[in-house]
Amino acid sequence: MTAPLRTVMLIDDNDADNFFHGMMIERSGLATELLVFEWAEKALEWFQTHPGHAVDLILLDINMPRMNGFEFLEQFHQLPSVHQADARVCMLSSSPLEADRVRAFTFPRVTDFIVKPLGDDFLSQLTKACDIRR
Amino acid sequence: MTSTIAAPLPPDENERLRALHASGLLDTPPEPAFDDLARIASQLCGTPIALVSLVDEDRQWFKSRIGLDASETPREQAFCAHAILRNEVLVVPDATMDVRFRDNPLVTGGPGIRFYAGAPLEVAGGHRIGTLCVIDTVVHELTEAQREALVALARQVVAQIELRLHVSELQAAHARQNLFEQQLQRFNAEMKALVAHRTAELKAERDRAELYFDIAGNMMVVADNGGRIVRANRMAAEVLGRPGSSLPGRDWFELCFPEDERADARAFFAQLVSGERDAARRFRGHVMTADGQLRVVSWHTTRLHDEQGATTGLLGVGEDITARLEAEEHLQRTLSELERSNIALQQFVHVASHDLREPINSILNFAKLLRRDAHEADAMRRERYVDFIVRGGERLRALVDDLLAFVRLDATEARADAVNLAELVEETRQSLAAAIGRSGATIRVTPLPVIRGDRSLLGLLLQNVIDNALKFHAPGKPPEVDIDCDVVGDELHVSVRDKGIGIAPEFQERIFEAFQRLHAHAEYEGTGLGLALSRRIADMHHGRIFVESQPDAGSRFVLALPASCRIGIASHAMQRTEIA
Repeated sequence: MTAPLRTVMLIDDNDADNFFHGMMIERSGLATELLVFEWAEKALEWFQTHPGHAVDLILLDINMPRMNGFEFLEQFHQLPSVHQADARVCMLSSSPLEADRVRAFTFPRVTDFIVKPLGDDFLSQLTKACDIRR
Repeated sequence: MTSTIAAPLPPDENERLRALHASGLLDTPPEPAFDDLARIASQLCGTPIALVSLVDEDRQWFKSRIGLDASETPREQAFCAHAILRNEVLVVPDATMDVRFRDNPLVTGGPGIRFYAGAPLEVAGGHRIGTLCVIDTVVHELTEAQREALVALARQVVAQIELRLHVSELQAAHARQNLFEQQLQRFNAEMKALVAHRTAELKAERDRAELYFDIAGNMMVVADNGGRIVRANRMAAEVLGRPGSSLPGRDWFELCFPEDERADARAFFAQLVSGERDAARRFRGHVMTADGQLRVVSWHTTRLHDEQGATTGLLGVGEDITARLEAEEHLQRTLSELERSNIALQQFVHVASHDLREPINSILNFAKLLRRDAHEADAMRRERYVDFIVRGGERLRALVDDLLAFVRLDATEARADAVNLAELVEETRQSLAAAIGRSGATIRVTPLPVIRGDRSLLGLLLQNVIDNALKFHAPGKPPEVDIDCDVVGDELHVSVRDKGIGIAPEFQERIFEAFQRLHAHAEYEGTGLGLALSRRIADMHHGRIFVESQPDAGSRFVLALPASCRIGIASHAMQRTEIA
């Protein structure tokens, strides 16, 4: 059985969350490959050096030191399209702040907004991202 | 049939009658003066009858009668009507022999007149109003002496009449004068009463006005056109801080304005007086009190006029609004402070709840995994879960501790202890002994002063800053920390220097904000509150905290306090402390 998505990228400064989310994604069989970044800057650098990459979905934390989720989105959307490739973004936030949700959806690549923690049903919350690929 | 030849009317009949009536004798009671004259005439002429007869329009009326009862007879029977026709004595020796009288009933009947002699009474203006006459019932003759005497007596009657007239005129005049005087007195009394009443009213009114003027809650000042105080009420004196009696006569501007403002104030006043500026408009100004402070007064003025409408000065009604303005300003300040702190609080709560949620999520996530995977063989994996749970719990505890400390700062005021900084650093060093030992850190301390401040808050600050210096050391190198103290300008700089990873310029201000972290959890632990706490503590000591840093070259955190907080040098400070 082939996974619905090729690569899923996690960007979160919290290593505990990364470990947990990674495990959830692994177990769900959602993706073939998983990439984890604790720094948004590092993730951005990776996209700049990987045109035509296979990342279908970015799970992006908002509250991060130095470069936060929104700052990352600004920069990411300015990349040439070959660097953005097919990546869609799902925001991950610890707090359900309406202003953050509204702001997130002003970015074209953002398709979902999930409040942590990811539950067992998180796949169903990601339907949009998955639909696009299918 | 009897026929009497009535006397013709004299040519001046109308005027004569008027003179008669004016005499005021007709129908008056008998008077001794006239009766005496009549009696003398009767005796002089030797006749039983003598009369003072007045010839009226259709009768003769006797003012005095001697020897006759009738008080009047018809004019047509009157001998006297004939006697008044000429200015001489009319003598009729025997009436029966005279055609004019022989058929007269007074001749033919009672009293049976035979002799008549009448001297006309000629009053002022030549009018003959009647006669003094003597009558007898027997034929008679009149001697020349008797005739002359009769004429003289007639003149006396006239004199009497005129005298009487004068007397009555005098009496009338006197009466009139009396009446007039009485009226005058009454009028006078009335006027006096009226004036007294009106005066009392005016006084009451003035007293009332004075009272209102004085008890008015506003300042009230009347100034003349030149700005000299005419009157000032109690409140004005109170605001100015001067005795009320000292104000009238003083120049308002010299009294109430600093020298450099007088000209402007005077010009403004002149515009109000001249009407160039609408006097009814309110304006805000200030006055200087006796002790030199300025009070803000809201004025409204009224031009004062005399009866001719000329402006005589200005009435100023003013309210001292200094306290009200201060209260308003204070309220405004408090409101905006509250608003600011409210916004800050909302942000704080939001961030705090976000940061608290992270470790809670982490604990729950791995606890749930542990429960589900409890029977799986992979012990390594389960140990990993437990690790995450423990780390989450520790992080949660650290956050709650820092949050509580942070929140408590709001409710506390910095104490003013004498704080020996050298001792405080030593205590901090001891409480961080485990971390120092683990990292192999070196801490060097130069002599530090005793300062005035809050011992436990300053301890918290030092602990945070030194902890950071230990934590953010360069990879692979043990931390080196230098603590010293300098006076820079009017500040005392307590600095903590490390040779660690440093901070990029763009983050050097952000690190002092609550919940700002520069590192991922796995790299460096921290709640993001330590430096925010430190900044609050510096604020509470009227100081500041800042950082000088270069990435990869280390950081120098400086607590700058007012130099005045320094109260001495620690006596037992070690010259150089090295702890390895």
